[in-house]
Amino acid sequence: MEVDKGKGEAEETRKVAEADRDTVTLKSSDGKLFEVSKEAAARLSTVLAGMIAGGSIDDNGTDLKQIGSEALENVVDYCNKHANSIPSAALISSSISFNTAPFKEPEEWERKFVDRLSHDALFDLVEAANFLGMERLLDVTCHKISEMMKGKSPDQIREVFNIKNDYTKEELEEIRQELAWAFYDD
Amino acid sequence: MEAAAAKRARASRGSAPDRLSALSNELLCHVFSFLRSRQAVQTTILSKRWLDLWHSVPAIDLDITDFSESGRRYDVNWEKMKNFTTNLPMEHSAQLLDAIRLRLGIFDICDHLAPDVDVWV
Repeated sequence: MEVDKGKGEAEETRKVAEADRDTVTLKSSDGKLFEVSKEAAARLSTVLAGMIAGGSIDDNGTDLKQIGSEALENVVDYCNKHANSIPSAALISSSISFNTAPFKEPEEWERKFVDRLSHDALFDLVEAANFLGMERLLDVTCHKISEMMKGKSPDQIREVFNIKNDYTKEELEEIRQELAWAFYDD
Repeated sequence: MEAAAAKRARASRGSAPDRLSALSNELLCHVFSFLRSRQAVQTTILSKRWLDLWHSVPAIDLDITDFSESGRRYDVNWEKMKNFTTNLPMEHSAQLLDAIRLRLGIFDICDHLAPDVDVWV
């Protein structure tokens, strides 16, 4: 469904401006230029799809002032990898997946893609994906963060993300009592 | 060498900004939607930033193993999960749920459990 829409929008713009280019050039907040497959950009990002359809793509580099070069490089890398990836049959037949859930487990290459990111790069990518309306990349990055929390105690989670506990002992005790149904561990 | 660098990197997170808490509520709820509900509720005690955020997570994910302890009888675990599950919707305020997932283990179809499950769904 989305694929068709993206292609259709890409097709229309072809008439408008940049005749036969199949890539678009994006410019990071610090002025670096990146080339990305136009088809993949339109398919994976609602914001880029809108810009391509609306003809507001600049041949000399479309300004993305909110996104730094490292995050934009990862966005572009993700789009280009996605453009080349073959949909995995395993995804469709996976027996443990929750059939009606909109989220499909990350594919192997997507896992590797987020696993190699530094802590800061991961969060920069979450924000970039959110800004660009990249639903799948947002799912994959947020899923990665959830995996960093899964099965950990509150203290361990605070340590991983450097979260400051600003509750008093009394406040904590009060919450534990209010939410006793979620906390009992006897 | 690599281990030392990793250790330094970990140690330096002591003063690193808390990127997770800095996310918008919407993005935090997105992260939460991949957690099992019990852990999502428990995040409340991380810090004040997290107080009550779980109320708006657009998914419910319950797993009997989150309520199980080795050596404990299944029906005791079941009571724990039932208690959690009865309380959760009363506190939950998301307008729409994208997903509800129940994982009940090998006793899925025990007749005496079915009425409880019916009530939740």
